[in-house]
Amino acid sequence: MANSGINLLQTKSDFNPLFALVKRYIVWVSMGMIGIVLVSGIGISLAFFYLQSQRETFLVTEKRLSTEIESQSVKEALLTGVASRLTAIEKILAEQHSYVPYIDTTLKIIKTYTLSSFALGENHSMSIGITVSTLEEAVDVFTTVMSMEHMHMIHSPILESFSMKESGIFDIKISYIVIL
Amino acid sequence: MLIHTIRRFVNFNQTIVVYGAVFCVAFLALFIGVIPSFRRLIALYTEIETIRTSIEKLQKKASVLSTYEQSSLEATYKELLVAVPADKSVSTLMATVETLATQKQLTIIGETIERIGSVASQSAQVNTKGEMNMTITVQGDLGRLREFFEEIIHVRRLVRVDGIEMSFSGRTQLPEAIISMTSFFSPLPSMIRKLSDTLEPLTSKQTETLEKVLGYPVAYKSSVIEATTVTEEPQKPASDNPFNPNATR
Repeated sequence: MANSGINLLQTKSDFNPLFALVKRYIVWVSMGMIGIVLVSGIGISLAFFYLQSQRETFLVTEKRLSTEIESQSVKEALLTGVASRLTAIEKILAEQHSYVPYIDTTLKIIKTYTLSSFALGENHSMSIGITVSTLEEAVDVFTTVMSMEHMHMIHSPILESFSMKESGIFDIKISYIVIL
Repeated sequence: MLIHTIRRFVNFNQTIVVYGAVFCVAFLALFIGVIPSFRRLIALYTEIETIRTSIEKLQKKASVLSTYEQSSLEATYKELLVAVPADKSVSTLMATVETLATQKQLTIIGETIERIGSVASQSAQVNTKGEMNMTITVQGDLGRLREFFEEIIHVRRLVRVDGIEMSFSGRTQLPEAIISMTSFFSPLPSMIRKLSDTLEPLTSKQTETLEKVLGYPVAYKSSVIEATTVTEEPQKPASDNPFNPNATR
């Protein structure tokens, strides 16, 4: 049988100040821990059930939409095809440029005279040759060129050559830059 | 002796032992149960977010698709294929240029198509750039040439004029223009789109381009005799047909 009485002769006691400190806080700490576990457990469970049900709903919606889109695959392919072809067309249209202004300026200069040469250069420059039968006609050509420069249709006109052939006709070579 | 010591320790520190055990259990529950569950919850939330994003994309795609009619898309696509065909379609290119030249009373002296390769098969395409160079030599009045240049870039199929060289020779002194052009083709898509691929509606710029291009006339259409427009003459009676064995002589 164990002795449960107090030994007054025992000089050492079992009292430890560290244990007293632990004893003071362990109740609160362990209760707090239990509380955290319980509350977070309940919270997580509720959130899990809620998210699981949401997932199911979303999966059903996703499936429905997928089926709906799959049934319109031809339409999708057509729309994609139209869009990609339009992108290609936009690029082509951006690269296209008209040669009409070059011919227009030439037609304005030559009027009814004979065009003997036509050459396009770089940076919108061009050079034309005109054959006229009289000096007056040659003056008319120069006047037209000057007036076109004043009207900002062309710039930097240069008389490259002006010659009279044996037959009495004049050959004029003019170069200029077309303002687009 | 040891048991006696433990018993004495438990007797003296009963609170510490009980609540210590509770703390340990709670601690274990936190690490074994709560934290992994929380991780799983995060994973579930991430999965839901992924599904939600996917649904948003699909909803957008479905709404885009619902705004278009399949029949009108088919018609538009066919019309665009006239502007930029799926293959080289040399016949339509030549028909376009020739019809336009004829309309403008220009005489075609020469026609060259560079690196033609296969004529109309997509499988044997060497040219992956989708461009085909062509040179034509036409003769005619400068005014007519001007009209030709004005219209050639406003017809289907689409071409780009790259350069002109003009010479004046012969008795007529009519300009002879060597026109270098580029025509375009774009093969049909060979890849099947994924369900998750986004689909955008046509932009306003694309719609503008579409209207512009559909407004361009198909030059060669006028030269093609529509089979339906040919009116059949009523069959002559059998008696008038000299090859009819039942004909009366």
